Amino acid sequence: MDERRLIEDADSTLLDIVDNLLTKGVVVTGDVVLSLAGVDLIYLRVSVLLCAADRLLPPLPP
Amino acid sequence: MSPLYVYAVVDPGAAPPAVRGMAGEPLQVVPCGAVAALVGSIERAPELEAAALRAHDAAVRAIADGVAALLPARFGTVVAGTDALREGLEPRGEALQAALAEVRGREQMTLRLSAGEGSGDPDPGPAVAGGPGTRYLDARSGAGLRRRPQVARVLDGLRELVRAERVEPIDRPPLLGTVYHLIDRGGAAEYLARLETLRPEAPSLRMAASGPWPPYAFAEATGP
Repeated sequence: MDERRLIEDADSTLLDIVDNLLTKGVVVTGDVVLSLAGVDLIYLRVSVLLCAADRLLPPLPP
Repeated sequence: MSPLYVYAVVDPGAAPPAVRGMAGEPLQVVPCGAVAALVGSIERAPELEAAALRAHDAAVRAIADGVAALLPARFGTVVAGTDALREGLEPRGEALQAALAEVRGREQMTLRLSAGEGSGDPDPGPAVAGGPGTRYLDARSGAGLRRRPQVARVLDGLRELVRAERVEPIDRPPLLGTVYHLIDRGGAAEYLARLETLRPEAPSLRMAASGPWPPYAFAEATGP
């Protein structure tokens, strides 16, 4: 799945999961990580934070 | 030797959990100096798909149920074998131990903040003295977000329940940022109830909380 689609199709729980799993968590130093093929983590980080925050927010109180 | 998928960093004496990994594989404990890693043998790195993300999160949550302290690994962390894993984690043993101590018996709540709609900023914080560099660093650290009067009232109101806090400002109005809170395990309902009582204190803030989560946001300070 393309990362744009992943974000566009996501519900709020998945967006929180994306934020937690792709931008947080222990990183084992880069040179020993084999691959996470085709994923641009920087792009994801920015997009996810913006999209997730927007969609997760409730409407303003009347 | 199969590559290893890393799920979490735990205390060195941890017993292998009766939890299966994303591919149904049994998990192994690999001692790495002052800490240990929980890993599963896999054939190839997972694709970035919703199902895989949910499976990773489910495995981490199941592991968390069986240990007092864990640092979740970032999705997609695959190493060639135990030597590569030790090489990556052993030099950071002290920092990882400190992070484990911080999250022990605790879990994460996520609080997303946005300004209400309309013209102008309804809740500006006091201006920061100094040049552009000072202002930039201040904004980046989240200090500016914490100084907004309504945000400060909410954070103060939650303080009693919060054991640690990470703030990620987002400089894109109306988005203000995300606050990650570490709370005692089992305290999510009380946290959410307290947040509800604080809404009148912050009439022009939009706030959305989720959790409890494994302490993902409290593991990253140990990364490179």
